[in-house]
Amino acid sequence: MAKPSLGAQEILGLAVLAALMALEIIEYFIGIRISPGALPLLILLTVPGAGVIIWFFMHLPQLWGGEEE
Amino acid sequence: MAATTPAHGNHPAEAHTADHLAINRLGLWLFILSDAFFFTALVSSRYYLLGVYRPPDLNQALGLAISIVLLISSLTAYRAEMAAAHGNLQGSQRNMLYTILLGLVFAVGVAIEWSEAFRHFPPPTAFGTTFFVLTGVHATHVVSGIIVLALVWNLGRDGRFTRGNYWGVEGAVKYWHFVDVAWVFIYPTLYLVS
Repeated sequence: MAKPSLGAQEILGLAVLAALMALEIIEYFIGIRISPGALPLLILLTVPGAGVIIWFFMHLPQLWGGEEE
Repeated sequence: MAATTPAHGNHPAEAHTADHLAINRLGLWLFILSDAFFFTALVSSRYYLLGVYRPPDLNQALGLAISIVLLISSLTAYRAEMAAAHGNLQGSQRNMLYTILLGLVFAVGVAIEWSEAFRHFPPPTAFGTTFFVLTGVHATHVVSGIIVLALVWNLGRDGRFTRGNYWGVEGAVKYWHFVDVAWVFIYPTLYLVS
């Protein structure tokens, strides 16, 4: 597999940021509008958000050679 | 373990460099994992001490604003690393600088939060204790991240990094992303859970 171009990686970065911001804003509205009972929903949104950062920004797959360098 | 197997080429020097990089990465990940346990303990202490209680005086707008600033800084950090990986060292330096500046904005936001928090829920209160410990420990990580990024940026000015040798950039950026991941959990824990 060829190494992704810088442009492709920048687009991926923007897409990840857009997803993270969307999650954050949804969390915000859940937090201020839904009370009580927000906790399960917040967990549901927080865990994928952190996962996306770990996977795409921190390049977790590099640890087992699963990402081109 | 895959992390210690040569990832590039057959030339001994190349394989040695790849091994070294894999070991560096594994070491950093282990450090991050150990730090994550620390944050997990602090976050869980909030639920143990307070359940889902949330005081009404939290500055929600500021909390959201600094969270978004930190998320954007993760993008600039990512771009710094990607630019270095592609040999665009100027772009890497520029994005590193943006990351540092956004980190400073975040730190200022936390300072404003603290000045408000001292009035509304001072440290001796249960929520105050949780709030100041969690944000304080995180802010310490932010400040140390800014220092590391600034050191790496300074090394970059001297031309220490190349397309094939940018571990300094990668390591600093990974640490910065971890600081962001920690905040992704701290923000709802302090501001949103109720």
